[in-house]
Amino acid sequence: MMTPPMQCRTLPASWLDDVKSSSSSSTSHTLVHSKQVSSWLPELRTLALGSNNITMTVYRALQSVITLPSLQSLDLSDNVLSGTLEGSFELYYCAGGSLDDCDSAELKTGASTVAVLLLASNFIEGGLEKVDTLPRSLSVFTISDNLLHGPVPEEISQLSVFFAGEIYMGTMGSIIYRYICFSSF
Amino acid sequence: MYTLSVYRTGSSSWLLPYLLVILFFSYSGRGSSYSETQYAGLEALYNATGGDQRWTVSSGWQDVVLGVCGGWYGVVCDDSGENVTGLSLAGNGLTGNLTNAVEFFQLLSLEEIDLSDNKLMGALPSGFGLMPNLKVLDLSRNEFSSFPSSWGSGASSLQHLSVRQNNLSG
Repeated sequence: MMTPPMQCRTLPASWLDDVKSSSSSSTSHTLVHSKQVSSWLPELRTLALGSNNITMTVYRALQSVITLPSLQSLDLSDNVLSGTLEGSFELYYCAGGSLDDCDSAELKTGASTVAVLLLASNFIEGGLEKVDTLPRSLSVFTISDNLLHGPVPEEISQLSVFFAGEIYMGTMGSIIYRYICFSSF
Repeated sequence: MYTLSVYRTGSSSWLLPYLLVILFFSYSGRGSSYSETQYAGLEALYNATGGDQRWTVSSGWQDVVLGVCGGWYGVVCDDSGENVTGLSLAGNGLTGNLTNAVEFFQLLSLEEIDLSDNKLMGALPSGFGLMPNLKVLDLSRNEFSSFPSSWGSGASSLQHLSVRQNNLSG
């Protein structure tokens, strides 16, 4: 059985706007990224792509933008993202040269600067067990209205806002949990 | 001070618009070439997006005597009154494809652009990446269909980009 962390309480109505406007100082992560990406939108902090028809795996969507060096807020809600989150935050960087002929790639887990990630209303499946791959900078994460199942790890309480809507407990059939949780808000 | 001399050689009425244009450019301070560029760029935007037929409000637009910083609807200029730094044309009926407005992307002093809630379509122009001072770009609630794979020369200082509620796919 899963119990929500003790400090959960309910959301005020306009929470998302409040949080988005206040969230943000960039982290002190150092990024090594390939030349292909580093020249592309180097100062971009907010990227809002919600409510489009973007049809691809969430892995591909996140991998293609999460390396933007200044990115703090990414909205991909209400699109057609599919697949699982597994590996989506695992970023491989080439020390030099293009991604096409990379001699050695270094895995930098959690090196993204993204603090606000909105993935609600897509078709993302699988589970949230591999929380250790979420970027350390992440404080607001919404993933409601997807096809997720499985247990929600305790580690998720590191987030200031985690809005998962309905989460099904896989092993217990279809027990539905709906909770909204703040750990420090 | 610019002095006009009109010589009465027969009908001189053809001369007047020409002289007005010269007057306009000579008072433009910074130098006539960027003023011309700005005028051409805004005119390109106007023509590519149905200025005459589709725009809800277009007061001041294309008025040479007024000048781009003289009160064209939705055009924001800097303190010097010479450089166009912003466009505020949300929900104004702009219709069409921006990739046709080549000169528009030469408005290098633009810092904030709000073209949201219009009917702009086609590919999202990578020309926005050529504007080195552009910090905020709001193209939400339009009909753009594809995202460029690169943005201009990489001189971008873009900080906030919204393409919410369009037709982006793939």
